[in-house]
Amino acid sequence: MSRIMSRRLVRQAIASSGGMPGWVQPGALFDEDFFNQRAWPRPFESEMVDTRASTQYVPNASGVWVPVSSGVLPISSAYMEVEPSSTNSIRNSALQGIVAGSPGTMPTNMGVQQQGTLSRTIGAATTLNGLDVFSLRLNGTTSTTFTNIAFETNGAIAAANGQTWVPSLFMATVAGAFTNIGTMTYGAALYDSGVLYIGELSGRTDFKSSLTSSLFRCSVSGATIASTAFMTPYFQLAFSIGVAIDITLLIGMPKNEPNALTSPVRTTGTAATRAANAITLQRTGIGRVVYTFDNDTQQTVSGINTGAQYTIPTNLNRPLIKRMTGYAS
Amino acid sequence: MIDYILKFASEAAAKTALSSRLKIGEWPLDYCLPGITMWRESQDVAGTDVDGNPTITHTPLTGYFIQASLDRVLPALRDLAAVQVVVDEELARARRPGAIIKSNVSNAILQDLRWSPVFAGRDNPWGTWA
Repeated sequence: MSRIMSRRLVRQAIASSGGMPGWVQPGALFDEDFFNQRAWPRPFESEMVDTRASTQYVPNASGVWVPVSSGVLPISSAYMEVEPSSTNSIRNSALQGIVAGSPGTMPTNMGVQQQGTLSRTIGAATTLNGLDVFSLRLNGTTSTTFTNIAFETNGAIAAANGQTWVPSLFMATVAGAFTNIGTMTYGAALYDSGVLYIGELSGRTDFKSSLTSSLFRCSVSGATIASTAFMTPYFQLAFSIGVAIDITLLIGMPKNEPNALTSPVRTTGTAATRAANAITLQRTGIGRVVYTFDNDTQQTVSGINTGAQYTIPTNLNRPLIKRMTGYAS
Repeated sequence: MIDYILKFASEAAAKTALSSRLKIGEWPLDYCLPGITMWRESQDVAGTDVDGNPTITHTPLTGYFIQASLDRVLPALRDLAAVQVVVDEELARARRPGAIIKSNVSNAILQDLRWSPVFAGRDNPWGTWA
């Protein structure tokens, strides 16, 4: 990390030492190249201020998530991330309370349901790609048609009819095989006000073909149904009765948020909110800004009031910005 | 960051009271959590769901609560009658004295108060202060 920071400071110092470097877009009043960690005419931290009052996880180009403290610009070694506010209603994404062993103890508020005759082995919580993760091995001969991994207790997450929710988690398969496992789906169960099961969040998805030894972010966007009062996100492995399975999953950073998928939010006992970014340029006179995103698409925002300091909107086409260039008009 | 917890009769009353101090029209979600739920742990009710799993039901306190978080102590905000507690969250996270900058509730109630959601990254040692 210190090497990365040193490299950034050196490049910014070079950029600030006078003249317009060749990499800067012609006509630009400022050019922030997050992907190459260079800025002109002054360092990122002099050009912009973020008043965000919470920690924010920002990914780099390798998929490693870096927690950035309150009020610090959300910049990794590759991107600046600009997002709206988001609350993780899963209370323990930090996996507190876990006890490694067989069967071990699941993280507080989480549980394995319909385990039947399968054996369960839980590994210690650790960190991978900047995320809290743990391993869960299920092996043996099945006596049920499915096993669920629930990330909350029933009745803990309030929801209502007509809402859109996005459960997500990071998962990898680190040992064993998919043999005899039919589907590996993620979604959420819905409950009424008496915490009686009434159905599923729409959009439940099979991620079996997406899972490898590298962490993959499973996410589902779905709608609630009539009489919904609570929801519980859960992962399900489905199989036939009387077959042998043996698989070890790496599971991390479950999240349940309304409306749309955004960056992970670490929780340690209660729901937590990542505050919205409010990144404001420390200059006036900017009439047009061109954004280049992580997938190399671009978006131009024009007609900006040049008499005021521009605040980067939190509803850009994509949240991860590789480069941001400002012009007078 | 300095976290302010405030209580109002309604959202409209909160916006009216804070409009001149925080320039609130729509809630500024970069530093405000409007409509948070507050409860007292001593009023929690333990039970079980239909599957026999343990549950805990909170009893929300009446009123409309917001959390605002700023990078400084703002006297005009700190001294509002609506303030319940003002916390230096960095001192709280470090378990250092002086974390409670101001409290308009008794120490017993303060140690009993819980709220949700919190800003990501907070680690308040609620219930452990002497």
